Amino acid sequence: MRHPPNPIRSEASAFEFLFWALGAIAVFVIVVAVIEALA
Amino acid sequence: MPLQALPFGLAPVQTIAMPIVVLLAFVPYWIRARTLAADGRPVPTWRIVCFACGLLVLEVALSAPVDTLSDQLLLAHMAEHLLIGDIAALLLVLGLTGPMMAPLLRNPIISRLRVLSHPVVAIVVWGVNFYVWHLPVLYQAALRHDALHALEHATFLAFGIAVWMALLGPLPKPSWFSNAARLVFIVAMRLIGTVLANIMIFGGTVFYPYYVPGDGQWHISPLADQVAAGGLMMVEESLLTIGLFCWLFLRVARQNDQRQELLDYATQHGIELDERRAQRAVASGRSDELWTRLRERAGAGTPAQHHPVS
Repeated sequence: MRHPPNPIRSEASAFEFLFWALGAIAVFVIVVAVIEALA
Repeated sequence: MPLQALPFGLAPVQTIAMPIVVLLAFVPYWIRARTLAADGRPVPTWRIVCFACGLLVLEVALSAPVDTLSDQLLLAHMAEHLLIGDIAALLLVLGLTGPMMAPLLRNPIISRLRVLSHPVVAIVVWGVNFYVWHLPVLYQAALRHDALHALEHATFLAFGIAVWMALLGPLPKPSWFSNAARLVFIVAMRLIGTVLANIMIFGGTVFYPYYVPGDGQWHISPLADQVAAGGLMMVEESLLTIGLFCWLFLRVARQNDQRQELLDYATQHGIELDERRAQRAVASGRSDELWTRLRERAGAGTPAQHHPVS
């Protein structure tokens, strides 16, 4: 039986995930800050 | 404010529903533990106790009294966050084993989340999340909006679990994540927390004016409340760091002993065993497999071949 690839062993996919996660956090912070500033 | 005056009655959902939801999380865990025990792969009792304690800590942190206090005092809110993101997350991770998680990891969506337990991803996301929520604009927005507050707690728990999974969890680690790298990881965690705690203690400015009325109720100045919150974080993280250093020291000592036993056995029986191979087997927790192979070879009277162990 062929085992699925182990995501933890793929450093590239980990750093790609990190890039998108940090981007999402940045967008979230900006959105909340703008909403709070307008409120 | 006397405790009797706390408005617990205003939060019936939180008072009744949250304990049930949190404690219900133990049911699938217990069923899986029973299944594994019947299968001859029992989960160690201490891990089951850790998982149950993690849920209990989560339950206490999300209970109405603590939540009510955390709306009035920054110190109480800090305690709540430390319970959720540090203590509960740590205990929950200690309760997990590979076989326990196997059914979850067969789910493709959950399996993709394994990337969160990569050491670099875990500590960066954990640290960024930690600081972002402590920005005055976000921290106070979370206090005003329940949904945002729930998201704050959820991210503290999720990324707390991720960072503990990276260090202590049962999932495979990258080959470069040696004991030395773990030491760096622990120090980095400590520094990330310490810098924020120092900012709160020595900042000299009230970062969260939301707490001014609550501090007035408790006859404490807002700045003293903030210093106490930073101090609490510093003390809690110091204790955790001491514990982690002890764990790492014992781990290194145990691994050295296990590696030496393997090498001694191989030498006594005339089996060729590379030191790095022994170290790799011990570090990945698969020394039992190497012992089995060595005993087989010793019994057969043939030299060991260099099969990759992990």
